Amino acid sequence: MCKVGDIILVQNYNDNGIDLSRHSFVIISDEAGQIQGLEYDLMCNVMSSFKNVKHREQKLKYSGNYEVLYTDSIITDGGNGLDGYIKAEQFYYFTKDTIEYEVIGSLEPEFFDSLIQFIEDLEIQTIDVLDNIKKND
Amino acid sequence: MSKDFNNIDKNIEGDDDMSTLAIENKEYRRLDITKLRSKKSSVISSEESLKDIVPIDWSDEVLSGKKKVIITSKK
Repeated sequence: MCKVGDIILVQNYNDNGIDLSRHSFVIISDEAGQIQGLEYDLMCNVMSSFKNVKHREQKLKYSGNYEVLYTDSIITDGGNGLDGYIKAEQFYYFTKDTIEYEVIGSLEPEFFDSLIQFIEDLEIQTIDVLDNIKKND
Repeated sequence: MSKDFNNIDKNIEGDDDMSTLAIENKEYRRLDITKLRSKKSSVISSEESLKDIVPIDWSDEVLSGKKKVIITSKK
């Protein structure tokens, strides 16, 4: 069972040719709700790493991307040495019983709080990704 | 709800068992959905949203569940 603040890795999910497998998501809400008449019980932001230095500079100029430094990440007894970012202005909606996932870690509450503050302070248009709940109609 | 991170830090330093308990007991701030819904938004497909996302290449130990990722603020 996953909870707010967890990092999940979606497994074996393929919808209309779109493969979400291998993508890591941060759970920002696990409360049931509706959006555009569609029910969900999981809201997530996707995590991404950088292709190269140029890609990093480009992505971090965008105000919707929340940087995650390798030095912020503690992987028990080691890590992969890569920085990345959380795409904080895009919200993926799921229902827990329709996706397979594995909890691979979590954000420490203080880090999570700063992400939520970042989201609430965003002054750009947000984006909703609903096609993972539409198919349950 | 207010949080006492200083107290939590003391627990982490003092006792391993206590640190686990303290971390588990820390509460996560809830996203203000009403605030989020008040922002201008649009809908895009998963395909479009993921086209520039580079999946994180987690270590084999993380993928196998032997190790857990914990992201914590250094600030």
